[in-house]
Amino acid sequence: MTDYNPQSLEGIPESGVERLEQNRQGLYTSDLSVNEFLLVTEAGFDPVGLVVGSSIFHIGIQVAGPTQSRELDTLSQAMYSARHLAMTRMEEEADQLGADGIVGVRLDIGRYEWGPSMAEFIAIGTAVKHRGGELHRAPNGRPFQSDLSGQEFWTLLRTGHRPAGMVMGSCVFHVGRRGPLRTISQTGRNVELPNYTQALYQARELAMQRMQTEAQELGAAGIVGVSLSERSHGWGSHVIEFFALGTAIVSTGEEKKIEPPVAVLDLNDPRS
Amino acid sequence: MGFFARREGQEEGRSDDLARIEAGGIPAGAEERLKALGSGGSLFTSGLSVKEFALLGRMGPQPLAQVMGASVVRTGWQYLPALDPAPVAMPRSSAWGGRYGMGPSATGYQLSNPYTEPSLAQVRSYKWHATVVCELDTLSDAWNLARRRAIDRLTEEALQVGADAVVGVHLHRSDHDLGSGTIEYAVSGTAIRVPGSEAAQWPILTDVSVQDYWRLRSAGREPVGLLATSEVVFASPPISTRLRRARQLAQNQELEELSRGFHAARDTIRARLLGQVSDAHAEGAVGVEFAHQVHREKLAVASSLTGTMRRGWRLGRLGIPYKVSGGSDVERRGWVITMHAAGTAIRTVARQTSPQVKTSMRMRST
Repeated sequence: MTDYNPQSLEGIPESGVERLEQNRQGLYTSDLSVNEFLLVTEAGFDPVGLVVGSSIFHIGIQVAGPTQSRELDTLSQAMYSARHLAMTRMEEEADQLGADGIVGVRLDIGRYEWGPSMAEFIAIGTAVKHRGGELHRAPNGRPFQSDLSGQEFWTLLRTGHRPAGMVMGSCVFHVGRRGPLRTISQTGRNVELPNYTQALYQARELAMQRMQTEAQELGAAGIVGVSLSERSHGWGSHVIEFFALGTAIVSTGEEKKIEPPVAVLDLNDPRS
Repeated sequence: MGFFARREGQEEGRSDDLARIEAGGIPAGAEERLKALGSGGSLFTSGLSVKEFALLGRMGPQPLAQVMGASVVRTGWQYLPALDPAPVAMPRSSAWGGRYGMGPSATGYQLSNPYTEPSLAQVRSYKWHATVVCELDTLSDAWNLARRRAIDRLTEEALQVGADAVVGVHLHRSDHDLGSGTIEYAVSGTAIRVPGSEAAQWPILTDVSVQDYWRLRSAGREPVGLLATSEVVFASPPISTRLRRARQLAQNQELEELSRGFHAARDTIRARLLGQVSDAHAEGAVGVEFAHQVHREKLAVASSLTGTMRRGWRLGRLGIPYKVSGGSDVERRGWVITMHAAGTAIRTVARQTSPQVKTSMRMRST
């Protein structure tokens, strides 16, 4: 990754620039639900527009020996760079709108029949801006990104924290098969397979570590809502991507404003 | 991306990590990272949602780190319980007795010969008329072993980070296709610490969310630990039943062996959970969730041959494997019911009235 240039419009097509221009004149689009919209507004933010970033990536090929347990770094790098590109493009759109940040970011991976080794990485969210002109950007001056819904965003601000950015860690790992001699000597009994356990453990650990490094670089106080997912994107059964995604938060220095919770019994039936 | 470069030390670290895993521990990298997180460093990680985070901040405890544990286990061979050896009476003093090496008995007769296979009549009646509902102990043990190892590693991580408790423990049986008969258990949760408290000797695990944790606390209860168990049961109808069902295809009929199998599995699980509750000195369990899956399987009956002559693969003198098949190969087709349960044991800390509950009604139209 090269240094970030806030004026850069690289990767945004011409029509996108036009759309952003319209957004800047006061007309906004958003994918917030009504509830989310009300809460985001209540928190002092206005939506300024729907922002999108996308990147179609050709994922290279990498093979490991059948019994070798190791990270496939070419694939890791591909998954990582592609998501980064999509997110940076979305961020640039938000920056063009003069937004403070993006809420409700969804990261999707699309695979199409016309390109088996290709994947589209899409990031979509709603850019928001503080009404009072207070700057709420991430510590590095870029618009923050978060996968929080409007409700979560409001709650987080109430706890005296604000989102600093989405952090992620990805690791594509080849889990080595066991050698035939080992298989025979262990057969018939219940045994833990240390090499598989270790491989899966190491892969998760690498993903978590990378996510943590990203948060540290952002100067975050913590990460909430970490989701760990394991997917095999058509690489065969022994190649697995471990992906950790969370929202890094920083303290605003404001006091906590969470009232003591009250137990409430909803008298509505689920269907009424 | 600087951290992709940190790869050189990986291979050397691997064999060391493998030894740690074999001893039931966690890799060195994880230990280091968690120690740094627990020492009150710059950052915390958590699998908490924002709402849980807000509520936890209100209650006092701080999130420290997301902790996890995993274990992959390969299941051993599973046989159905052996049939009884055929009752054969033979005089001890004859040449037969000497050949089979039987010991003396008071009557001079050995009623049952441990080296005898079940008779053909027995096998026929077993195949045609006996309904089999039994526990598959090897498979149950495999699931329990995998889960115990995974939870041990989670606890180890929580200890490294210096946690008082782990909330929101999520048990998760992943199905990576790593080869037949391989099962994986993974658990994850968020380690928390109550500020000012001394580090607990043993972190308390619970699968309740922070919201439920708050509700329990405000009702004067506290979680004591995680309860979990797995049970695998085999249910198989005899041939006569299968034929009858095929004849009466148009009629409603109960599959008694399956009903019995499910009942047996739930019963065992309930008994084990009760045992775990009393072991933990708890008063009861909340939020116990059952999950099960059923698949068809063909299983062989263990041979009644004892000792080294059991059926299965053996290693010869030169290390070449060979197969020993018992005299009577009996197989049963049936259903394998795999059932898992997990919950949280609780106890009362302060007898107090339940929190005041307000009622509300949403006025929305949908």
